Amino acid sequence: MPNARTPSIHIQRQTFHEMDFIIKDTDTSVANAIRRVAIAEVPTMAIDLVHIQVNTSCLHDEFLAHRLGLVPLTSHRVDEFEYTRDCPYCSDHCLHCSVTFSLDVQCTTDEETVTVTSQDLVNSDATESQLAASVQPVHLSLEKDHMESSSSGIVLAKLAKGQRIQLTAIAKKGIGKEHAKWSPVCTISYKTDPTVQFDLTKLNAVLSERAKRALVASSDECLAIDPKTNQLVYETAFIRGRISLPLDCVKKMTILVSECAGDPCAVLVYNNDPNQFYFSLETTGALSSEDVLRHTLRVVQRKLNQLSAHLQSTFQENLHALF
Amino acid sequence: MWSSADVAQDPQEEDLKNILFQGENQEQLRKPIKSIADKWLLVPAFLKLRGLVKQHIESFNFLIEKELAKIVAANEKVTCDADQTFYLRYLGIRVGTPAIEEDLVVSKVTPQECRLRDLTYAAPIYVDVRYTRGKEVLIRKDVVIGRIPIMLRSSHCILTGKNDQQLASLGECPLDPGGYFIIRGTERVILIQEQLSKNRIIIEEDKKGNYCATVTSSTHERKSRTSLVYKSDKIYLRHNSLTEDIPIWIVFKALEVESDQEIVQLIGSEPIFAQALLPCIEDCISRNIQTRWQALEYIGSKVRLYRKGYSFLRRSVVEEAQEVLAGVVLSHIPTFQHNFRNKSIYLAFMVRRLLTVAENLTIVDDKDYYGNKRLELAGQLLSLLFEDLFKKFNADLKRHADMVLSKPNRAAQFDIVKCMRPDTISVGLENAIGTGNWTVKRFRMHRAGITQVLSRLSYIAALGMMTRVTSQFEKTRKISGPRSLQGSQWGLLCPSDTPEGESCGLVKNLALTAHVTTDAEEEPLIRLCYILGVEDATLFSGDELNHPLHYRIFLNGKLLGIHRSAFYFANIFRLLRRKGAVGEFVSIFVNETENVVYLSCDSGRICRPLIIVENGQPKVTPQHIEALERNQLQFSDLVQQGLVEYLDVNEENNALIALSEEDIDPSKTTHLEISPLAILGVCAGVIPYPHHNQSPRNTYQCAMGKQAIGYIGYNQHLRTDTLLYLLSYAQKPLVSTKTISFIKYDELPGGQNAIVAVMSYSGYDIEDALILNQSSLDRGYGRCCVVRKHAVGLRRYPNGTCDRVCRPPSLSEGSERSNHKFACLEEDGLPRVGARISPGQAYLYKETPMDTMTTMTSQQSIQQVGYRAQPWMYKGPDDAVIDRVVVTCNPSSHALFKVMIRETRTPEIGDKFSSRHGQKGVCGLIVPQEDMPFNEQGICPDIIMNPHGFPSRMTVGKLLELMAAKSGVLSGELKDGTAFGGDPLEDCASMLVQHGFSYTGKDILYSGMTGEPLQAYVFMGPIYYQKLKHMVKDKMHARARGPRAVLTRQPTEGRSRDGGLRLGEMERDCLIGYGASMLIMERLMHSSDAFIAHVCRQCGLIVSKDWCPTCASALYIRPLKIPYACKLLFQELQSMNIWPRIMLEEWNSS
Repeated sequence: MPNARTPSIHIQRQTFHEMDFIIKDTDTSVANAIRRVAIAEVPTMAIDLVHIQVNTSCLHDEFLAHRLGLVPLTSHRVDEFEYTRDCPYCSDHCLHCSVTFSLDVQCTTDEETVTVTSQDLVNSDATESQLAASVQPVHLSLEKDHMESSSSGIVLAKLAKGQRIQLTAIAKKGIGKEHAKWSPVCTISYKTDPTVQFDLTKLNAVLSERAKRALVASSDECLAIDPKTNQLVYETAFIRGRISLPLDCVKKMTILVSECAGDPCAVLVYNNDPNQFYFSLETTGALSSEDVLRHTLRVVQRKLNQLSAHLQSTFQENLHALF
Repeated sequence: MWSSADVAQDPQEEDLKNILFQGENQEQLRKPIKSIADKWLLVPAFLKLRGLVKQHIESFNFLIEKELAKIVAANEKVTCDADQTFYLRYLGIRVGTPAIEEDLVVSKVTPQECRLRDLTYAAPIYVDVRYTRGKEVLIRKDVVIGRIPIMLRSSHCILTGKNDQQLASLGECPLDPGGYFIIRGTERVILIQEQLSKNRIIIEEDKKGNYCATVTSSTHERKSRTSLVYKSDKIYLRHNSLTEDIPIWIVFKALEVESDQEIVQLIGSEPIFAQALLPCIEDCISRNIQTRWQALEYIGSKVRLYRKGYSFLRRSVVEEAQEVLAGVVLSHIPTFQHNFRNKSIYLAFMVRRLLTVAENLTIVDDKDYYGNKRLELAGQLLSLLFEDLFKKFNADLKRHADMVLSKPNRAAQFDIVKCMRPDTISVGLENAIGTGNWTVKRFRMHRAGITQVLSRLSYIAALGMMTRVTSQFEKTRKISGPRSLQGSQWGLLCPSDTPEGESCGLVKNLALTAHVTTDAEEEPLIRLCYILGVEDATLFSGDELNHPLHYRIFLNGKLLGIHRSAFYFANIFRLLRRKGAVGEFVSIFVNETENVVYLSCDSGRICRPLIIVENGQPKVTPQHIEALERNQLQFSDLVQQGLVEYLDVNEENNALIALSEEDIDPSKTTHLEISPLAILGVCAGVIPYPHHNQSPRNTYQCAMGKQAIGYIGYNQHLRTDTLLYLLSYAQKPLVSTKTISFIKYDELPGGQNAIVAVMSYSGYDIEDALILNQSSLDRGYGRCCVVRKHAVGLRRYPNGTCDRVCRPPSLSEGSERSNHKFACLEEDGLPRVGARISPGQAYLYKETPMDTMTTMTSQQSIQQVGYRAQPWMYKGPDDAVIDRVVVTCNPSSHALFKVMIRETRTPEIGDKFSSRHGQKGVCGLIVPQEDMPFNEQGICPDIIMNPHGFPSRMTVGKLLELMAAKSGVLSGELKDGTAFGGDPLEDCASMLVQHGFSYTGKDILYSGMTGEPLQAYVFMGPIYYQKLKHMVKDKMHARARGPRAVLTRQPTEGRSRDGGLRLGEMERDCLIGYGASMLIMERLMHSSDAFIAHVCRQCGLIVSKDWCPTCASALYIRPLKIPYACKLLFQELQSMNIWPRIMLEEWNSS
């Protein structure tokens, strides 16, 4: 008698930007819903409107605006912002629904080009509201130490002598469905345990040297022989779930094991828990990995709440209609 | 089974051992020689020396530096019929630096200034002259006789010798190859023209199936075609200046060879020839012609008289014949004082060759053989044109002098230098290059399409255009010969790069290391030949000439003499060439079947460098290659040291060229290929692993690479082209080729590396359609920018008024609507840079004067003239942004405004993309990222491609590119996919395994929609994709109602005129067949040009609504709905006195 399951989350590794976790006792549909919502429906802040006052750089205005839009902004207080389209406080945009940045860089030296980065974006609303001050560009860079604040920032443009960029950029709240710049995740994906695998310790014990090599040959590079111990091991690609054991390999194993007078069934390991999902998540820096997950679940929850509220009202309407 | 294989292997192993041991022996004897694995490095060295467009530039330099002086020397004197003492003699000629004269001020110009201001990049031609003025003799230096357009990066261009920084400050892209001209602001290329070589004997079959030996003689003065025809066992001479074919025997007699025996000996006294010549002799006897005089009289009577009008001297028939034989027939063989010995020997050789073919000793020559072709380049074509114009210039001077000096009393001294009008030459050259119409009067040559506008769609397109070779064959003729790839084109012309369709195979492209020669001096060569033992042919009798051990020596088609040991001569000659005593491009070719040595130093031969092999050892060693790499050695040094030499097509026949070092046969091999990748051209060089593709795919990519959007040059934002397509984030390809780095495609790329999953998805991917990832597009994939030029010039009218650009009225007063109309404009009537402009808004406010005809008397009245507004409206499909405004003036000092309007586009459904393997497809669906499949790492493809694209196309190179790129991405390096080489698949696969991927390149993907793993592994990885210029936005068109043509009142045609969609004959036929008559009526009349005509029932004519003039009545007029075009037809017929009558019946009469 199957019981209703209670899914659980086990976090394996967690940093600000990345998180690996396992969701147990649930279905593909739920796992995929989490993935899809994280990509498309978790709101963040991103630059959406750019007023360019001066742009004498080699990049044209649209190019620059597009680059600015893709700069991730810290959005841990995004919930306190309104969507501009349904902001009750203003008709255009205001502190409740937007944050204004300004950028003014000029190159005066002859020797080197000046690099305009996300660090040059100044939050001009920071003094006026705590909420606005919380939105800052994320200065990711290619260097290893991108956690530290001393990173060089995201390159926006390069200026030669005499060139200048002066603009104001307005960041708004949005979701990834509208534009990828609002998506809080770089990658989010999951995998399941391989459906069929071998119990390598048993297999190593049973098989002869020659049989091992024969098995490796038919395994489509899932298996390998460790040159030191002469034992069968899995290739990384298999461990990471990028490939799976081919049917031929399983057949071969049964033949080889029965030749060596073993029990093939004992060696085979079926995926006893197909309801286990190994997630890995990497954020853009707009939200912490933990926040992404939290927001994701909240969005899902809200959807369900809305559904139940709707159901309630539909019932009510039907009642009215009946009587 | 196993044993048999072993047996088969044994001898191979022995061979291998032999080779190894030999190698060891040689190692003991000499210094150890490693294989020159990096010999391909010679290709970049070659390109560094010569550049990609070396052929154009070298040819133009030759014209400027040498050819012009020759032309002037050949036409150096201008005399006058009226005054015998008058003369003008040219002493010298030189070309200055590019400059422009404006308001009598001469200033230097840069190419970029010419592009922006619609000027011609040309330099003045100066001459020094000595001439008479009255009784004095004067010398004037630096007289300008005209301006010649200067080829960019040629010796007289200001860009030569400048470094990158200087080029940048001139607004020029350092990677721009040059080799083109700028005529009135547009860049034009003189395409390389392919022609049959001049002054060479070619044996062919004529239309009637007769063998004939044809020579197209070409000298500076004259071009003529002489043929010997072998028909009904007799040989005849055929020439345009002769009314009929002349029996060869009579020609010989006229050429001072009167004895039959001597003629036979000249041709060859072998029995087979003598036998064949009998009918000719009989023919001659039957015509009763024995002496030279009789022969000349016979020929003279057949001479076609061209001379029109009067001639001073009426020459006798005999003189006529002598003149024709001396100057017109085989005009490239000079005759001195009517000594025809040279000509008779040449003619005899022609007969001999004709007979060898007629007697089946050899076969006819192959016209398509590339040794029989010459390429005409910019220099040669311009020299033809210049000589013609210079002659015209001199003729004009002479006519002027005649006119002035023949007047009995003149007011002032006649100074001819003041009459020199530089326009003849300037305008002539400018118009020829500007239009591509080449008219040379001397040769009665008129050719169109010699020049083309340089395509700046992408860097590759521009480069590809500079290496293009077109042939003069008619495109409409359905002949396969000239179109097919010829074996002799190996290494010289790209086997892949040719267009599809009518010009397939006629338009070709040069291979990477092909080089086209320029003219070299003949004199020193002739002297050298005589020193090396060539004996003058005129000193020999016929039998000696035809001795089997004696070889005739031809230089550029002229017989120099004979040599007794040709191979010795050829070897010495080659030795001297390698030592540098003879020009490096002089070729020598021993033809053993003809017993002839052909020397060539003429221009337009196509040749390529090869490594010399001596005694089985290539002369270029790894040490040389290392020195090349360290820049201690130049390619030219290798040529000078005799390690590398240039071979032309003919000389290749005397060489045995090994493809690789393993193929060298020590006893036979003479040369070694530099690298097999050099057989491909610029466009095909971009394809990775092309040797794994089906060949037409490479051809398709060659055509498509030219349509790819990418970077055009470092100066792309300074350019003012009519239409510029620029990709926002172009990337260098992950799988590069050596050619890519040679031509610097990686610095100006034309595409992006996309992650491609080869799987089917949704059904919107049938017929090669691609699925794109919405998020990738959001992040900038395929984003491009289209910049369009809108040029407005201000006109000046004859009455002194002119157009003006001024403040639009709305800025002060005016309605809301006109405010919107002029929203982009500023005070000065020009648009604001950076302003967003919508369709229907003005980008320039111009006013024209109301009165342009009446002559104004005073300045005041000019100011009083009224102006009419003439705003220039933006007609785009969508909003755009003003990118730049260029305000300048052209040389006639008319103001010129160029407004560049920019539009940024992201890919949309229907945009065209292509990989580098001739696999194009349009975007069929854009899918949000969460719906895209993903792998366990979270990677989503940018593009999903349907696997059905592969089996029939057989583009294995694309699969290999994916594998190489995937492994390259994982290991963080660029991979190499060079033709006939490249990183092997095994390496890529093992790299994948190392990084924990399947060696097959396939991944497990999860469905983005259901989250379940897909049922099959998916081949996924990066492939370089090009965005092509064909975008739906430029093509999409629909119309409900709209403009109509004035004449027929039918809807206009074409998208640009918002035209209707035509229901053509075939569609109409369908409807007729179906019987949908009312639908036809609707489509062809009601929706098109319905018109109510009034027809008089009595006379049946179309008349006005209320009066029929023919019947003088209004009673019978009835309205009738017909197509307007029908009414028009009737009226036009009436104008030709045909009276079509429409007979009407009462509809409800019954």
